[in-house]
Order: sequence, then C-alpha cells, then structure tokens
Amino acid sequence: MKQQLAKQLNLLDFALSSLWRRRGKNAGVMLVFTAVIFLLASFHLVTSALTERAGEILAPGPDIVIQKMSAGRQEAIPLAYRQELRDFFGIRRVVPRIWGYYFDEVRLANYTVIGIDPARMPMAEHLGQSLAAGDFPGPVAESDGPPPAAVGGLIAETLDVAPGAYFSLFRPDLSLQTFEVSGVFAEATDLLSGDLIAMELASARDLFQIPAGRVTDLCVYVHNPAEIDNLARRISEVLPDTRVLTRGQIERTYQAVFGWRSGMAAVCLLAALAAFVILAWDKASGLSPEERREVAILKMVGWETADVMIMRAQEALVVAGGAFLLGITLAWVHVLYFDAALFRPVLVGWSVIYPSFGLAPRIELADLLLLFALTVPPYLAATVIPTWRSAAVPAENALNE
Amino acid sequence: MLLNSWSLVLIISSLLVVFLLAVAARSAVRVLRFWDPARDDSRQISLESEIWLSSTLVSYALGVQILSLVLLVLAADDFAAVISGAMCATGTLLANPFGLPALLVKLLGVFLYGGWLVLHRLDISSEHYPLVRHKCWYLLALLPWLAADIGLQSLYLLELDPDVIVSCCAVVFRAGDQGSQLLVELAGERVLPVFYAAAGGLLLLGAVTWWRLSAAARPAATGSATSATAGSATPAAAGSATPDRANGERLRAADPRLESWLVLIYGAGWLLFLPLALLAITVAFSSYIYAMPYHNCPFCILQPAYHYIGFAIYIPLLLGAFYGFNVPLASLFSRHPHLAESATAHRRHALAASLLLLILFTAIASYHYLRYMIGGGQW
Amino acid sequence: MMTMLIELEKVAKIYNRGAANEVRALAGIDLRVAAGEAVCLKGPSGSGKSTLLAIIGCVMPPTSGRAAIAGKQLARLPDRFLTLHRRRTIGFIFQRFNLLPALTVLANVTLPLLPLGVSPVEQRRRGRRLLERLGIEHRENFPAGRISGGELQRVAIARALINEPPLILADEPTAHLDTRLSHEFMAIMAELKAEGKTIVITSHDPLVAEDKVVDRVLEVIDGQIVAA
Repeated sequence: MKQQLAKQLNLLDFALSSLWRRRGKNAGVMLVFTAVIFLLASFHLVTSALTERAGEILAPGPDIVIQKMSAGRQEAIPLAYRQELRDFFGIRRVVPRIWGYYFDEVRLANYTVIGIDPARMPMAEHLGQSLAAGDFPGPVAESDGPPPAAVGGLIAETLDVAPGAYFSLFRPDLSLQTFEVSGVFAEATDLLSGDLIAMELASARDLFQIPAGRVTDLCVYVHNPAEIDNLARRISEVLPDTRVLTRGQIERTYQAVFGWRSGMAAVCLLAALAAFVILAWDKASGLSPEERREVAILKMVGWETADVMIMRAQEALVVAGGAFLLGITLAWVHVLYFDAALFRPVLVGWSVIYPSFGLAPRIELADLLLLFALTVPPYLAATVIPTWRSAAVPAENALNE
Repeated sequence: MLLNSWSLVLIISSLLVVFLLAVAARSAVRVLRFWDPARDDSRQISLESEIWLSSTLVSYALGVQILSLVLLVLAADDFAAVISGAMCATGTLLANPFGLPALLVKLLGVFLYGGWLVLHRLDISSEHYPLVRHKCWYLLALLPWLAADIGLQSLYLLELDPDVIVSCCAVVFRAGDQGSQLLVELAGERVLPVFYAAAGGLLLLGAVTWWRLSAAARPAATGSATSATAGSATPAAAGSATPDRANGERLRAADPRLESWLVLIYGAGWLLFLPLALLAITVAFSSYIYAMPYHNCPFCILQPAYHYIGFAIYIPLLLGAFYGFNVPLASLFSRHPHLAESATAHRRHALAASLLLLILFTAIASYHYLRYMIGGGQW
Repeated sequence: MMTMLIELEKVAKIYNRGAANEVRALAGIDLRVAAGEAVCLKGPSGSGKSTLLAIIGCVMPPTSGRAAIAGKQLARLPDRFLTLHRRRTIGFIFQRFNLLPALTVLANVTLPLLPLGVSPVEQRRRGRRLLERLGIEHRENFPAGRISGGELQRVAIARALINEPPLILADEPTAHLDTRLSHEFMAIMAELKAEGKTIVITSHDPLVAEDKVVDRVLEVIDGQIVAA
C-alpha cells in the first residue's frame, strides 16, 4: 500500500516535469480550458445569485395577490371584492395596491409606479428601510403642495432630482401631475427599487386616472404561511373572475425563467466546450517522434504500459484541475467585482435602466461538482484514447535506431 | 425540464459513459474474436495492449458514474425549488415513476463497474490472463444496464413537470394511515434494534470468517500434514499431540467447504444489510441529524446545512458493501490454478476493509442518535 | 554445476506470420550462457542480431522454441510480465545511450526506479552511489543533453545498473566512441564481470571481440548462430 502510494507520487513527479518540458503546448490547452470553465462558471454563478436575490426581494411582498381578469387580460379590481374575503379565517389583512408602468417618452424608459397605503402595507416598511435619503411618502395631507413620492436611485439619476426636488409625469389625458421627491432609495436595493416610484395610493389613482373604488390588485397577508396554497384555492373559488397568485408561484416562475435562460446560454457555451474537447483530442493525439522515443525508452527501462498511462492521466488531471481552479476563481471575481459584466444583457430584463446588482455569489459543493462534471470528465475522456496510443509504443522501438 | 444546468450535466455524464463503454465494448468484441495467447503476432500484441485501454475506460466510466449518482441527487434537490410540494430531493425523485428507479439503477451500476475492475485486477495478476474472456462477456453484459441507466434518467428529466404537485418526504416516509407513503408503519423505534442486531451479526460473522480464513492460511501445527481431514492424524502427530491439542488442530484445520459457506453467507449478509441500512438512515437516523421528527429524507443529509455528513455516512456504507460483495467474488477464484494466490489475498483485504468500513459507518450514522439519547434533547 | 542465465533452445522469431511480408528473423537458435560469462555477438545488419538481443532482453517473446532468462520461461508471456521480469533482470546499454536530454543525469539514472515505488531519498542514494563509482558524480544535476560522449556512456551504464540486474546487455556500445573511451568501457565491463554479472555485447568492433573480458564470440548469420 505504501509502495503503491510512493509509486503514484513518483509518477506524478515525472508527470509534472513532463508537463513543464512541454509547457508551451500545455499552457495553450490550459488557457483555452480555463476560458471555457470561466464562461460556464460565471453563467452558473450569476443565475444562482440572481435567483437567490429574487427570492430575497419577494420575501417581504404579499403572500397572495388577487388580480381581476377579463378576456384573459388584467383589469382594475373593485375594492368591493374585499367583502367576499371578510369571513376567511386565515387571512390577516387585505390591502389594496395600484401597480403600473409609466413610459417616459422623452427618455424612452419605463418606470414602475406603485401606490400603496403606507400605514397598512407591510411592504412600505421594508421599502422605507431601503431609503438612502429622505422619507417614504406618508398620507397625503390636504395641503397645496404636490404629493410626495419616493424614487429609485436610477430614476433620481435619470431625472436629476434629489429629496425636495419636483418632477412631473403625464396623466392619460396628457395633463401633468407634479410630485415632490420625498426620498431616494438606496443603491443597494437597485434591483427592486432602481426604476421604482413609490407614492400614496390616492396619488397613483390620480396619475393613472383609475376610477374610485378600483385598484390594480388586492394584496392578501395570511396568518400561517403553510395555509397560503389552501387559501389561494378558496379565494379563487369565491372570486372566479380573478387570478390568484401566491408568492411561491411567482418565485418558481422567476426560477424557471432564470433556469430557462441560463439553460439556453449553457447550451451555447456547451458548443464552446465541445470545440475545446475536440481541440484537446487533437492536441493529445499528435505524438511527436520525440515523445514516441521517450515512451520507448521508459518501456525499455522497465515501465509498464499501465505506468505510462497513469503518468499521462496524471498530466491530464493536473491540466484539467489547474484550469478548473483558475476558471472558477476568475468567474467568482468576475461576478463579485465586475457584476458579471459579460452576461448581464442575456439575463437581465427588458428595461432600459439596468441596475448594478451587487451580487454576492455563493459557491457550494453542489456548484463545484456541477461545474467539475461539466468540464473535467469530458476533457479526460477526450484524452484517454490518445493517451493509450502514446503509452502503447513498444519497447523495441528503442532498439531500432 | 431539460433546459437546465443540472439536466444538461446529467445528460453529458451519461453520454460520456456511453462513449467510454462503447469503445471498451468494441475492444471486447475484438478480443473475443481474435484472442490467442499462443500467437505472438502484431494483432495479439495489439489486443494485449488494448487491455490497458479497456481498463482505463472502465475506470473512468466508474468515476463518472459515481459522480453522476451524486449529481442526480443534487439535481433532484435543486429541482425542488421549482416542483410544487417538493421541499427536497425526495419529492422530486418521486415526481414521476422514473426518478427512484433511475437512482437505484445508477447505484447498482457503480457496483457493477467496480466489479469489473476487481475482475480485471485478478486477471492481470496471472501470466496467463485467465479471465480475459470472462471480462469481455461481463463488459458486453453491462451494455443493457447502461441503456437502462440512460433511458430511465432521460425519461425522468423529460417527464418532470413543475406543475404537478408532489409529496414531500415528511408525508412519504411517515408512519401513518394516509396518502402515498412508501414505508408503511415503519417507525424508527422498530427499525433501530433490527439494524444494530444486523450490524452486530454481520461483524461477528465477518470476524469468524476472518479467523477461519487465517487459520486455513497458516501451516498446520507441529508435525502434521497441512491437508485437513480431521482424524487422519499421522503417527507423528498422534504421538506428539494431546487430545486437546489434536482437537484444537482439527478446529483450526482448513475446511474448504466451511470456508466457502462462510464467505457466501457473509456476502449474502451484506446484501441484506445494505437495504436495511438505507432504511435505517431514512426512517431513523436522518431525523436525529435534522433534529426534526418528521423530516425523514435520505438525501438532505448531503447538504451543506448538515455539514455534508451524508457523504461520511454513505461512502463507508457503499464502499463497505462493495468490499463485502468482493469476498465471495474473490472466493470463486481462490482455487483457480492461476489465480489462487491473488484471489486469496484480495479476499483477505476485502474482508478486512468491509469490516472496518462497517464499524465506521455504524459509528458515524449513530452519532447524532446516540448524542441525543445520551445527552438529552436539548443541546 | 554452472547456473545457466540464458537458455535458448530452437528459438525462432517470425514477423508478420502468414502475411505477404513475412520475415523470419531467427531460425532455430540454440544458445546457453552461464552466469558470470561474457559473450560477444557479431553479425551483419539484417542478420537477426537485434532480434536475438530483444528476445534475450525480454523485450519480445519468441514465436517458437524455448527461451528462459534467469530461469523464467518467456514463451507466451504477456507483455506486462515480460516487462516485470525485464526490470528485475536486465540492464540495457544502447548504441546511442537513449537518455532523456531534458532530464538531469541523476533523473536519467533513477528513471527505472520510479514505477517500483522507491522513495526519492532512496533513489538519490542509489543514484549517487553509482555516479560516484563511475566517476561522474560532479555531473549529477547537469541536463543529460549537455554532457560529453564519454560521460553519456557512463550515465547509460549507471542507469543499466541501478536495479542491480544479473544480466547486462549492450548493443553496439562502442559504435560512437573513440578508442580510449572504448577501452574504458571494456574496463568497466571487466569490473562488472568480476562482480558476477553476465554480459552479452553485440558489436562489430574487433576491439570488443578481442578483449580479454569476452569468453566467447558468436556470429549470427541469417538468423542462425555460427561459432566464430
């Protein structure tokens, strides 16, 4: 056993010196391999980090969202629907919300507008805590001043406003509604709040000219999270012309979309992997006369075919292992410090405004195994047959000069 | 659910194993057709050389298969996030009829590929390569297994539907009267005594087998011949031995039939112990690891949240079982004219390894349970 | 009773048997070499000399006939076991030395020890001892590609001796050496013979054939041995 281990170490030593002797060729292969692993790993890390982020962001949101559907499209839901839910035992609170998109024709950007009652909506507290400066818009006083609105960091930048400044938006009838910036959301929450304008419910109703007694959705908060699916089902029975969305469903949709998108990209990157594998086969297959002579000499002085194969396999492992470690490290740096600059266009949504993510990718054993299995075994498999061919050089070649 | 990193990696791993074993199978067919050790021509030399290629291919296939087994569990765990009702791998593996069979076929594949490598090692220990043809047939027989592996895995991935609600492990593995649970009325309290009794029994059996095999390997005591029929003591032995000593010699004398039975029973013991151990992990030990009575999942213990203790439990168990099966396998060849020495040595090593791993597995699996029992519920 | 280290009886070697390009390299060779004996094989190229050396050197098995080297039958022995026997029994010295130029002298000498699981410390100890014996210990860390012809020869001899084999085979060892170095080579062979090693040298060089170390000179012609 000890001798076996010593033998493996001796062969490894020779393998390393052999790699060094042919460092030009091996460096080339290792570089390309590192690049392929870097791309695959970056992609995987970004999608995991984004999915996790989405989960974090959705967490303080409502447990159930009820939207009215007509002819398959969403329309404003009457506040009166709340009456139907009054007797439901597990429901803690039903809070109305107006959520819409405002298209700024001048800057060609879409803003998300959310109108909530800050006193009743738990999300308001969460958003309030996300403010970098100023306050969350409180209840609108019957004063003359324009209603308050908190804006995301990216909007503040786009509109060039700070707390206390004013900005105006067009109502559907092209009249202007002016707002006062009550607060600006912190950059760290940009993924959620970057393009967000948060205001009081009445202000949003005014901006979108939604009739009184209607809102865009009803947000339901429950006592027991385990009952969410149960309650959602019962709500849809009682309000048949509505769409009832649970938080879990929304999370899963994000997951599926991210997963789908990353799968698509992975397929493209796999083409790169395949090309690399072919390159590896090609490089390994080329046996120079020098290499043939070396193997013949080794066989002549008592190395078995198996010993030569082990040594060559160790060479391949060192190259693959080194490329793997380097590729993963570079990918991690790429995602952490450079915000996955190479992949954002593929993964991030359709808005013009792109927030910086501040993603904190987590690498767990599962991720490492996934990336390892995707890259290293194909490379080793590609080199098996060429390795064997090089090890099969007969010893008598050394005699025939 | 194919367009997903995990699905892709599982498919790629399967394709790799297909490639590796297809090349090995091609070589096996050539060997079966043309192998002739009496010849020294280039074809025979080439075939001898291909032995090394085959063994490397099967070794790599084994490595990928082991990796693919772990990946399937990790993938199932990842899918739990998109499959309604599933909270961990158990739910997703039960989401369609192909998940669990895919896992079991993969697991068995690991044993089968490992078995081939053992056969190969025995074969090359003899100058006559007596098992060349056996190895080739074995390899070809692996191909249907491989097809089943890939088929089941692909069907599982294709049929995975995020919209179908599945049960989580608390429902599936719970003792009780409702729903689709697999293990009806199997409380941990009932399984554990059986488990420990089985482990103890297997250990004892292994120790006895070890003792008998060691005795058979040692030359017999003072003066008497090594061949073993009790009672046919030579005059010299009869003269020198007291009745007790003669009895002792008879006990220790080699009895091939007894040894054959012992190793066979030992191997069979592992065959029974392995599913029992998996059951014990699922219904008993796991909930102590999770510190939750209703969390009975055999897969979550592989997660970082539990310090990957699952690996420390499954690796000794599966490796121990593998070596345990090796004992009767090696015994098959312990009287072969060309393989006796290496087969006997391998049998001894396999027996020792399986016993050590059995102890290790039992200790690690029991740790949380014993900690709870001895230290009390709160810590 | 002398121990026979090399016993060849009606040994034949046919390449590409049955094919159009069939070649009978050896036709029924009988050869017995006792332990401690030194034999010189002469013969023109194409005579089968190299094939004979390869069979004696456990590099390839014979097609037919009985071949035993150091007591081990070679016929029908798979390549793996030929190699295992060769590494214990034979030390080869090649015509062109066949060293790896990029490796150091010491690394070249200890090359045969690597697959045996010999520790690096022990490797260095054995290697240095041999280099000292041959007077080239000062070249230990030089790349083999940068030393002189005479030193290369000694490195090749050291490598052949590292496993302490009973049989030394040298293929045209003086072909690329001047007279002085050739004499030095034969002197080393004499030392090895005195230690009990068996030596087989193939050579055209009369310097070798006529050296007092050589007990017998055999001529190989058309795959047959003819006493010279």
